[in-house]
Amino acid sequence: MTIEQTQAVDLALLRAQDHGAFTQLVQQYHGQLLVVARAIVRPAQAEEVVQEAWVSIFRALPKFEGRSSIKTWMFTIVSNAAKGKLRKENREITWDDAERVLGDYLSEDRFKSDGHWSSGPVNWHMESPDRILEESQLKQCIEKNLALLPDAQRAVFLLRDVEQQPLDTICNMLGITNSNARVLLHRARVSLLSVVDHYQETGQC
Amino acid sequence: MLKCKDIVARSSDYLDGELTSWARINYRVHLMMCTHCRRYLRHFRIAIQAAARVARTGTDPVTAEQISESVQRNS
Repeated sequence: MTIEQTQAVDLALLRAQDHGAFTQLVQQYHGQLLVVARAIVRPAQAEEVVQEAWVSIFRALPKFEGRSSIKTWMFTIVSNAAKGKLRKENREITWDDAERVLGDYLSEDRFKSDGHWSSGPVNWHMESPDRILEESQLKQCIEKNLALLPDAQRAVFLLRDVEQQPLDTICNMLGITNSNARVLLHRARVSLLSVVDHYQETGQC
Repeated sequence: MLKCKDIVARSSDYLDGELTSWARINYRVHLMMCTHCRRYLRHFRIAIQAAARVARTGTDPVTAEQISESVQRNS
């Protein structure tokens, strides 16, 4: 699904609650909304939160004014619904493994004691995103590892690097501080770099 | 003087414009002098862009249709 296709959903049709346009919206964003919900509520509740959010979104579509983009509007509806659920249960957001970084790109022996590279990054033979995505095994490997990211990291990565939301919007949506968001984002990115780097070096996932 | 380890640690802040202007200048000076860090940053950007494109994959059409129908039934 490309950005071009994402923008193609017709706002006028959506406001008229057109079945086809709405289904297209669900197809494009259901996965993303789930990622956001999972960063706030337990995985088992996330599905329910998103289902309910779709109903709210559908009902509110005729009144959507377009002051923010439709995706920002939907992300906000889902994050509010998820936070509402937490409040109802008197719970706070808990992250089990938000610290985790995949792979060993930043292992200690990468750097000498003076803080400089002991041996620099290896040469890559696939030096562009296009080239990387042509390699179906690597693409699958990235997909697999995206699923392995801690929920909070995946949500911040999605909102920032896929959906290009500003950091302060992301902090509001997920109820986290700016420094939290930056740490989570950096960890997710380093993990994904590690995955691509490992494949470039070894040809294996 | 920034070390390579700092360049890596602050690379997300650099890309997101979260460094102060002074820190940003120092960052760039290091990059100018260090081929390893230039390569690191190039790889970092490429990996992020590739992964972002993978992450954009939509839900399968059958599931989307089911959700869409149930939402419209409940509205």
